Amino acid sequence: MGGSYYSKDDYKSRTTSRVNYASAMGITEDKATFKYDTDIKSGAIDAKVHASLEPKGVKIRESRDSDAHPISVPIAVITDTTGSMQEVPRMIQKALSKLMGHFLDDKASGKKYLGEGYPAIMIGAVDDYDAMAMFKHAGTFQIGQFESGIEIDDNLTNLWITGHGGGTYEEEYELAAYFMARHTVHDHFEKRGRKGYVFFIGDEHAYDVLSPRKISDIIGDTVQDALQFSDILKELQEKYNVFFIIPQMTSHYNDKSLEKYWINLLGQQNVIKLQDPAKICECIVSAVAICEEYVGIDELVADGIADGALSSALVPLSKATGEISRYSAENLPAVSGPAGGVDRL
Amino acid sequence: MPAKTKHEPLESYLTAIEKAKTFKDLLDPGADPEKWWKRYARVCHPDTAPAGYKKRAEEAFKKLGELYTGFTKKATSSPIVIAGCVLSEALTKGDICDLYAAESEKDPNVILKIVRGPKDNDLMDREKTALGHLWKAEPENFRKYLPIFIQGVKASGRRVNILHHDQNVFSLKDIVDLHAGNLDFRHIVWMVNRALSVLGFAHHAGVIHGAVLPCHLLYDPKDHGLKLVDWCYSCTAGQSIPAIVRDFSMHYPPEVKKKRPAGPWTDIYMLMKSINIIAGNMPKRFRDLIQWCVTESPASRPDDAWNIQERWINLAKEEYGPPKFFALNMPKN
Repeated sequence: MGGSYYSKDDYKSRTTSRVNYASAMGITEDKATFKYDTDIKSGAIDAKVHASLEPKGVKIRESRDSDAHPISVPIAVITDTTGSMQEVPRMIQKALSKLMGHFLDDKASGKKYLGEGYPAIMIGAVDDYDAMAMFKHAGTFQIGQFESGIEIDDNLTNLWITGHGGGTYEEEYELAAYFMARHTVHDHFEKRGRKGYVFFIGDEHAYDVLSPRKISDIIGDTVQDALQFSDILKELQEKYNVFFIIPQMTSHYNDKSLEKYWINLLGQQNVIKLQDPAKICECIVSAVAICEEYVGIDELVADGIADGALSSALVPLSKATGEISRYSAENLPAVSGPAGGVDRL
Repeated sequence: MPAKTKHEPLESYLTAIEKAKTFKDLLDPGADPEKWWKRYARVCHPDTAPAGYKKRAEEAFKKLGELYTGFTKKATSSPIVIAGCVLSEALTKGDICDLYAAESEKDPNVILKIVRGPKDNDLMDREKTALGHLWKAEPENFRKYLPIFIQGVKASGRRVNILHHDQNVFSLKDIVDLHAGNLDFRHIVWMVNRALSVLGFAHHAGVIHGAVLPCHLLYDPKDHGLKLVDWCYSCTAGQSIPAIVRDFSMHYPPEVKKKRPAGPWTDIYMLMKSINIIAGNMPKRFRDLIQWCVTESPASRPDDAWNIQERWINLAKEEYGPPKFFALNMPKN
């Protein structure tokens, strides 16, 4: 997966055809775009996860380097689809062209944010297991493949925007973390020792304990004992930089205890409060760019990617990953001749 | 003299460069031009200039280069300044980085470890994490065995770790080489003693060094000090060591190559293996203790550096009498 290129033209022609379809059918453009979800909700098809996003029975999802993309940078975006968070997939879908553009275009600063890297984006969504009981828990967790082309748009528009939630203050981020930790592999780590990226977008806690039953029902694995979320996170963090983005879309945004909960788990630098939810793509691009180390906050600001509020929200991340030495970059001393070197294990 | 501002000496240096017609205008009589050229470059470097000064710093830095070129009458590239440190000389080649001596405003002796390729950035991070953790660990008096980590920065996707550059230290490898096989074992005794001290400390803090090699043990012959350097291969106890330094592959215990969990026993093995390889003749009782530490199976190996240290000290007392300072003279050159 992930061998194709992202083309703005593909995206544009798709949008045009959706607009045409919407006007022919007399429905909104949104309904035409998220047709799978629309069909479930109108009863035209059964309420279940789209085959391309079904986690159950998946052995492994890979992000591999290829001739087309010799350096693949895996980025998973997993959103909560309950309550007002249902808007998030829509916002990402609308901004997808922008997202890929920011990653791939040359910037005024003369730099690409991923260097020679190419993003491989995986889309996922979580709801609440108990709240999805009426659907035999289908839709608790949905996850696509790592994709680099228009398939990302497919994954978004095939999402079932479940919108249930449980009235509790938890969603199944821990199931998603489990899947990412145990059912994905990527060359960014295996070949380069670099971590990929997982962004959870939401406004709730995870469940502290992941029961074998949930794992078996949703993912299909047999696990002996219940797992602690904190342990799964540690496992996940060996291969991924894990972020939690809290967009200002609900009253939970101002809940200090929610922020603290995620900070305790992930560290201050990996919890980003997003004042302007419309900047979700810029937020993801900026965080990845900072971690990939080709640009710093200054350049993200200069390029108009990170505005005032976003750049302030990213300061802890920038500090934690080390300040970038921008003016020295051009005249770094050349790498000296061959050295003894190391053998990676 | 410009009024004192929050950003002294930057403000006055910038003003001086802006006003200068030749490089000489920047010098007091008798001042060393090269030294001052580097000093101006460091202070006015746009990387470190605070917001609001960037533009002026960029222009001043450029003009400084032109003035100096005019002064020396030959094209001189600007001094390399990274995060406020002016590079002075290339020191040596590490396994994953090139090492440079440099000077900063606060510390005339810093060392810059510039990673050779971004693929090893993660190893550079390990050093930052481990030293950050250990510098907070107790007891405090063990910190003297640790290098001082100043800052980790990024430049063009490459990590740069900036540390204090300890002067007058020699690696175990150099000490042994310089003595051409004639190193009294009593020196090995105190050197191992120090090494076991710092290992016990790190292990109690949950950190495994992962590359206790003759090139990473830096001793000060004068006061028998030690710095255990290069924490790039470190991990927390129970994780596996990420990489092997190729030139020393025979120093590693089997669990490292098998990617099995590393523990205190891993570092103890590497220390004693190094001693075994380089020390030559030694009293039998020391050799027996070392043999135990380099047992192939991790389970049969000791796992407490401070306990081994106690045994080591007792052996030394039995062999050489009460401890006394034994000066290590380094041959010239």
